[in-house]
Amino acid sequence: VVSREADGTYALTARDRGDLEDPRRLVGDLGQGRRGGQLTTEYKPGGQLDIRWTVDQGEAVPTDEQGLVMWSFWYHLSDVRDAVAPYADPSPIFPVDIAWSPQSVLDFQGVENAAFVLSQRTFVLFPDALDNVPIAANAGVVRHEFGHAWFELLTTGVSGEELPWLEEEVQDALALNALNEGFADMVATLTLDDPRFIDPSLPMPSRDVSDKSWVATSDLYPNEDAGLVDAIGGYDKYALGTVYASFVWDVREATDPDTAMRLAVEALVAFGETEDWGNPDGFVLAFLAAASGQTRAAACASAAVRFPELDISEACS
Amino acid sequence: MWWWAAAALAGEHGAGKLGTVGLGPGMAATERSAALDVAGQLVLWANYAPRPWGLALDLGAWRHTTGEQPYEEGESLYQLRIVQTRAALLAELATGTQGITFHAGLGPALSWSATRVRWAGRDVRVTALEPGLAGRLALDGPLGPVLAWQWRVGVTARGLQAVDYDTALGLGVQW
Repeated sequence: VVSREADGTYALTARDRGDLEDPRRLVGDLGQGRRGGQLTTEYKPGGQLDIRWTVDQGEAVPTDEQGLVMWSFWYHLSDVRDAVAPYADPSPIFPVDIAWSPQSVLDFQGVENAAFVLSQRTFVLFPDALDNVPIAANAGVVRHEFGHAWFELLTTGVSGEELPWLEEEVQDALALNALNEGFADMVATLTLDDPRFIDPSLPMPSRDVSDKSWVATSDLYPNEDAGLVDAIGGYDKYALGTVYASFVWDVREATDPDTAMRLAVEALVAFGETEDWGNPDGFVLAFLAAASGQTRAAACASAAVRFPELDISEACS
Repeated sequence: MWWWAAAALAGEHGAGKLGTVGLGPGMAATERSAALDVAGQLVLWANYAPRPWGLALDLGAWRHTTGEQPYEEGESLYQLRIVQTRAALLAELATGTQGITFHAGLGPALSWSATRVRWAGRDVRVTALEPGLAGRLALDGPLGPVLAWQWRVGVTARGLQAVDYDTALGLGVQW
């Protein structure tokens, strides 16, 4: 599979079969792979996969790229499930569908070659037009997409159910989407301890969470009159999301990945309990409330810079 | 306009011609693990069509390369290269007006593929021979006293597990 090495580079390496019960169909504890199908208001599964391989030196080697990417995705998903388990049980997310290139009318952009569909427990993968590490085989991207699934579980307490914020105003739903993207970046960056997890596939300096220039200025938030155009891509949810992830990364730099991840999870659960979906900055305040001692001091220092318009006086007093 | 020109040529030159052989480019959509891979193909065909029956030999070859930048340039994560060929012998229904012939054929097929995967000093090669069934619809006709054209679409089953699709436009000779 396409594995991420300790130094952040990628290489093809062999993995134990683990919980992949049927490698040909991609079936196991995590869920089941599918080919095609339709993705509308719900996922209508396509046919079964038919992954082929040859055995060389006792190792199964996929004989086409789709099989290689599907197996790689599976193991990255297994890794991140295990990595986050100490913070909050992710098992309600599983089993999931992993769909290769379903027909869809959703707003999947050309460079978006992996995605998680909220409320449907479905990951979708698309063919990759890039020459670098296939996006769906990029450990960071898989962790980011898993982060969306975990976000849904941590904020609502359930997985695969109707999302409570869909009934909110467009502005509020977009703001929550920004926090969703930010949390997904937190999962990727903290579990890999890498602030630029996308780069091996697609260099994107704009998603570098260690960049000190990311500040939540008012123009990053959705407008009051946000409408359909903003909802289908006019609003850049990644910009504000990167600020949230950068804030947590600042705490990681002052402490360690484990501390930052634990506080992020605790804060997200607390934010979800408020059901104040249109106020994603509530996550920052919950994070500050959950932190203590030197960690809190570092978080307050970061929040003061990253969120200049947020009143943190009470949380940091 | 194209059709009328072809029909005119057929009327002038096509009568009495029974055989064609030709070569042409096309596209092949090959069933892989999760979806169809599309690649350019080269097709060689030969027809013998004393209407209303005919016999056709159909050969196709194509290559699919994927992975990081050319492996020889180094620093590549992996490279995966697949060369695939198809041979089919088709019994056909052949019908048409004047020199233009419509072919609908069905027959046994044999697909052969050679896959090479390279990464980190490893070089794995695997070949597969898969018998199956092929179907083909084709139109052909004359382009003068000797030359002929053909356009075809085909479907080829590899065993019971995979189905490939292809199309091609070719130029050949007739007699």
